[in-house]
Amino acid sequence: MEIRSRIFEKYTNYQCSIPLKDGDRVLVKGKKIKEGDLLLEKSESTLKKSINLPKVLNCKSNEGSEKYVLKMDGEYIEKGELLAQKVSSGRLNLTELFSPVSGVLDFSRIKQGYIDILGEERKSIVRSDFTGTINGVDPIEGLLISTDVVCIDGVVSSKTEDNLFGNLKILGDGNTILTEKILEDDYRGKIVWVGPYLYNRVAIELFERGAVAVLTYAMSYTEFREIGLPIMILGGFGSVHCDGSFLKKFLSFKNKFVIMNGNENQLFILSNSDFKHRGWFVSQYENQSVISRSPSTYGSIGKVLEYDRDTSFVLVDFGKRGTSLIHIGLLDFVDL
Amino acid sequence: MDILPVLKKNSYLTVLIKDNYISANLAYTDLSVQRTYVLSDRTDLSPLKFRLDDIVFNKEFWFEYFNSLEKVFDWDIIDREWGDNFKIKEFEREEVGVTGIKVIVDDNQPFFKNIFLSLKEFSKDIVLRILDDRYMEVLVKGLVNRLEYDDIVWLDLDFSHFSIYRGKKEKDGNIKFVLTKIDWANEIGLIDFVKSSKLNAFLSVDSSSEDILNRWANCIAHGYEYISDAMLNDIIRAFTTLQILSTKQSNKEKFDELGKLNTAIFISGKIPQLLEIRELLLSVIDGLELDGVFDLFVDRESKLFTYGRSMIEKEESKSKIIFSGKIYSQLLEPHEIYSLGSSLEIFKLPSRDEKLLIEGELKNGTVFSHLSFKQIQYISSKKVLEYEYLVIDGRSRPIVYGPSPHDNRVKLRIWGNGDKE
Repeated sequence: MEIRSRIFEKYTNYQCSIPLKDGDRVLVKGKKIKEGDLLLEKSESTLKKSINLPKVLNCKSNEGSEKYVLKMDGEYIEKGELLAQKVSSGRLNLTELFSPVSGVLDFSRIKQGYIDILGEERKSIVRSDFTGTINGVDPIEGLLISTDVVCIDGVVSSKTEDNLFGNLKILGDGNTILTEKILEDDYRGKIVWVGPYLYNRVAIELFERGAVAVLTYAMSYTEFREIGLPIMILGGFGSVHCDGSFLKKFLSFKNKFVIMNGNENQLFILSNSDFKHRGWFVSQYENQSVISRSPSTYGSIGKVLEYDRDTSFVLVDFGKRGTSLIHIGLLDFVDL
Repeated sequence: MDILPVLKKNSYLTVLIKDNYISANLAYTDLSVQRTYVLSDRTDLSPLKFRLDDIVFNKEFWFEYFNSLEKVFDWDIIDREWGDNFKIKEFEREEVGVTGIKVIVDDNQPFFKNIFLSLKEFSKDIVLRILDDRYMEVLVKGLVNRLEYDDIVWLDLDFSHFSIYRGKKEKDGNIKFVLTKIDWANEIGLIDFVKSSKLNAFLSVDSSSEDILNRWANCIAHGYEYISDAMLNDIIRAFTTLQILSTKQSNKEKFDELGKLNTAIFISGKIPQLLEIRELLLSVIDGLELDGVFDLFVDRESKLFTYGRSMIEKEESKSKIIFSGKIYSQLLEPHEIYSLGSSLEIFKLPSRDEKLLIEGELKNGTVFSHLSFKQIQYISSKKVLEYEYLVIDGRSRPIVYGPSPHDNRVKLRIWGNGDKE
């Protein structure tokens, strides 16, 4: 018997929090909130420069570079002022980091290795794009809410201590493999979908420009292990086909609030959905949706045409990609 | 003719939840016509691996599971007269009803508590058992006795858990049980392991290749059920060999004289399902550094986990025929009688006849403790000496009660189990 995997799972009354930064003001009135309601007034400053601390100070991935910082979060720093200092090799080596610009220091991404230097402040209004209930405001957790969410399981993600919160930003059309050349200047507050494949250099550029986390369908396992930044992979490693039927639904969540949970390896999208899930168990295989794990059709989603119980092979119709005979052990049954 | 309970038709469903799999085995037995078979099914819970801490395992989930199992086995399991309350359909005949359902949950199964408690709440009709090291010790020791081997080595091989259990008969007749385990805490460590120089020594492909690393990572992350990729097959073979060898080398004292005695090797888990028999043999023989003569059993459907205990407990309770005979009467056809070991059986003798002849013989090596003969014969006569009952006490001596009232309840049930209807 097979379990029918729910690619988009519905959670009702999911409890989560929207983190608040210094200067953020909660505008919600009453307990209930609906789409379009005023949510927050955010104090945001322009991003003048992001510095990747482990890279500049030449730290090991598990070394914890924040201990070398000599300034405090929110402190104003002049251009050329000493920001961090690392002494190594028995005090023989001294690595110093001087601030490249003047501005206010923001350490909200320091656990990911980044220090942001901010410029002038501006106010912006955030409106709700979901329906839910406000459960309170907590000085540590932020705005506590319960709402319906859509959950997607990642194949793997970088382990993060906290939930990462942001708006789902889709790069390009969401279906094209991109290079860093098309990137905008500022991705702060965004969890960025880069498309079906992620190259390391694109991820690094996105984090340099303030991205909270990066989502992709596939990337090289070696690059994933090297990068050490908050990334979630939804499909697999290497050249994995990202099927259009998955992408169409996923891209419909563009600009929604999302929470990336690296420990649970799940992505929560604050959104209502009209998905009608079928039962968990598949006992009759014909006409069921499957995703292939066979090397030649990896990642393709199709429908079962025939199942031969004696050989355990299944004939699958992949639409334009044709039909394939695949062992049932290389198919995952999906509810899409 | 009355039918002994052991000869009655029955079907028993045993479900094992272990290593993110639900393995179901439904055993049907009709010994009167020598018909016995086991229907098997495996359900991979991996698609739920990130949801197991949610409230997935609720009443609906288990209802749906048994519902689907009915379709897969084409066997009525649920009594639908009870609506939403799960009740077992009592055994009637082949394909209708089960004598009982037992669910065994491995204590190493992720979110064991959620699963165990959900089943406990789901139905009182289901017998719940925990598979832990103690369970395995009893099972392995029991198998040594039951199957008459001197040495049994059981390799339970999954990617994230490698367990080796061994039961070895010592010179004093006792069975020594040892176990060793390797647990991978997370998938990333397991994936990275393919780059280790130790593993490379066993590989016939170059694992530094980016493509191979990606394929191995996908295999672990998605939990393949079948391998069509020769390179992956090679990695799994090398990985299995190295895991077994490392276990053996770091626990030398637990693996002394391996293969030197009358030895059986059992293999279970996911890896035996993925590897071809040739690769599996290479891994086991080279990993355990075996030579000599041994029997090897591959349990791909977890039958030994599910029915092994029943098999050895049955042996322990000596539920075999210890006496068979016939009652000859003047009015009726000859009437066959049997008696089981471990039970106290009382046969009512027909009273219409003037005379009855009762003949019987001890079977299966059973002897009277103080008599040399094995056959009995006597006559019941209304006018001389009329017997109302024939009592066969097949319980082995000494008869021990206790230590707890619960133990006594179990014993009294076993002793009474052989009585005729």
